[in-house]
Amino acid sequence: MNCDKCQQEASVFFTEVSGDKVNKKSLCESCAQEYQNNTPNLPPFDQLFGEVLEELESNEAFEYSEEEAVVSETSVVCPECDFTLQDYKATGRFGCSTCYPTFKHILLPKLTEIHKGSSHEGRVNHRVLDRVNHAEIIEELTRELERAIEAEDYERAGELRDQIKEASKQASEQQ
Amino acid sequence: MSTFTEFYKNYPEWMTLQESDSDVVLTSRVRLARNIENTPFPGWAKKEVQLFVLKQVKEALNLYQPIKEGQSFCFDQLDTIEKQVFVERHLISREHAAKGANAAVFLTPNCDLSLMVNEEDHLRLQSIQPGLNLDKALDNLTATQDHLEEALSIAYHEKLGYLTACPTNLGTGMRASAMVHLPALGILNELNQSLNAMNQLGLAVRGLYGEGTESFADLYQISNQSTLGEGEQTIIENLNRVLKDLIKQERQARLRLLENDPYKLQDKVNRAYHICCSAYLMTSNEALSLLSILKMGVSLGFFNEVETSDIDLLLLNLQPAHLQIALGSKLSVDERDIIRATKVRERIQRIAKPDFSIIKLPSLN
Ligand SMILES: [Zn+2]
Ligand SMILES: [Zn+2]
Repeated sequence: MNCDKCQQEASVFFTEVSGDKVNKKSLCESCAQEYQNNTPNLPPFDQLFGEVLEELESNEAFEYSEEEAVVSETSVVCPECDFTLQDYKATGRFGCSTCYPTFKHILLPKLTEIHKGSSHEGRVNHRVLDRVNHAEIIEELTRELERAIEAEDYERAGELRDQIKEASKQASEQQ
Repeated sequence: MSTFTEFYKNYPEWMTLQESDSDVVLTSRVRLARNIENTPFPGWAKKEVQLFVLKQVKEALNLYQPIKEGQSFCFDQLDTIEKQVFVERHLISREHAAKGANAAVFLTPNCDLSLMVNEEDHLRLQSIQPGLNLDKALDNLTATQDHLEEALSIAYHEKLGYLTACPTNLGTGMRASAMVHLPALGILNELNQSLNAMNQLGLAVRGLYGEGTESFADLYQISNQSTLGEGEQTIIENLNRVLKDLIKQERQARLRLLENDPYKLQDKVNRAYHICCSAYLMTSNEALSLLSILKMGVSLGFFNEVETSDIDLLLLNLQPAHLQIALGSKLSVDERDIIRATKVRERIQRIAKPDFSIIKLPSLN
């Protein structure tokens, strides 16, 4: 069997089901690689940002929220990696993790079209967990400190102050 | 760095193990996408940045025993065919194989865990288990995740979760999938119906060297699409429920064939066996579809002393890169058909002919 795109022998076969349609493809190794590189995991770019970009490109000013000024969003550049929405159109991928806060207002309303929800419900990154733990520890120590002062146990209060200082230091080191 | 020859000699352990649901589910896989904070993703990063990421990951993994004991390969030491062998063994993705010298893969000794560096994301962690074992595959990644989060600044947002190059992976960054073998649903023309039902449930279905119904290997990959708004456990529970139902459907389809159409089933299996034993030329598609039938025959108990994983291993060794490495030279299409037929013939001839005594054939009068 020959490749759908060129005439080499096909060695990779795809069957993709979308809705009621079953899509079959037979491709050679190199066309398969190209096909996969050009096919973001689903759904394609158009569905995600197509409309938004079209509107932006027609140079209409866009108002996102009360705090945000009316700006021409096509010119927004990621401060970390110089990525723009035009680049997304070309690559179907973002430039770096800072792109997310940068393009958040455009991305957020679209997320529920591709995901079951718009906020993360899974595993929490350890660093964040540690930060939360530190905050909890400091809170707990502070309550204990108040009790110690009330009981006029100044030796204990001194110890607790040192512990709070240490915990705050650790927490800030992790930021 | 390890040598390719050493790697090639040993199959990943999960390819050789048999589980109670291996008759339908070959493997379960969990893949997690992770990135380093404030660093351009591989597709947007300059060479130096990619190299720096690789260096950071290498240093982080140097302190991690399970990976330290295993094998690792930088892509500058592998040629295209060798990279393709990793793809055929499902240890790296096709997309990863297309990357240049700054990409790398790290493996545990039994290959149940692989870590791709500079794929679409800086890091892709993957765990594979035999049979339907998605929970175990996820558990298997916990210690590695813990270690990496201590050693590296992993990009994470409190509301959006793990930040990935493509927004389709945002949140858990998790793609859980199972590879399923559905020959009987194919023969009974019920495959599209079953697969469309998966799609309705928000799952992705992809054929693996299988085209549609009766032809080719009848292997499909079923995976979650949504990664945001649900936790890892919920995603896996949903998949498990759907997959258990699919296993039931396929098993019932096999039994229906056995009961309602025993001549057809016996004919298919017997023909497949004898063609495999006697062919001197075999295209890839023919090999895939014949072995798919034999595999179903094995799971129905027609062949003694063979397991479905034996057929899976033969299938692996018929893949283009494996054929080429085994022969040590680049092969023309015709040469491949000869070599493929030889490999199939030599393997299947060692198996005794099918024993259909469990089938009670209805009288035709
Ligand atoms: Zn081609
Ligand atoms: Zn960026």
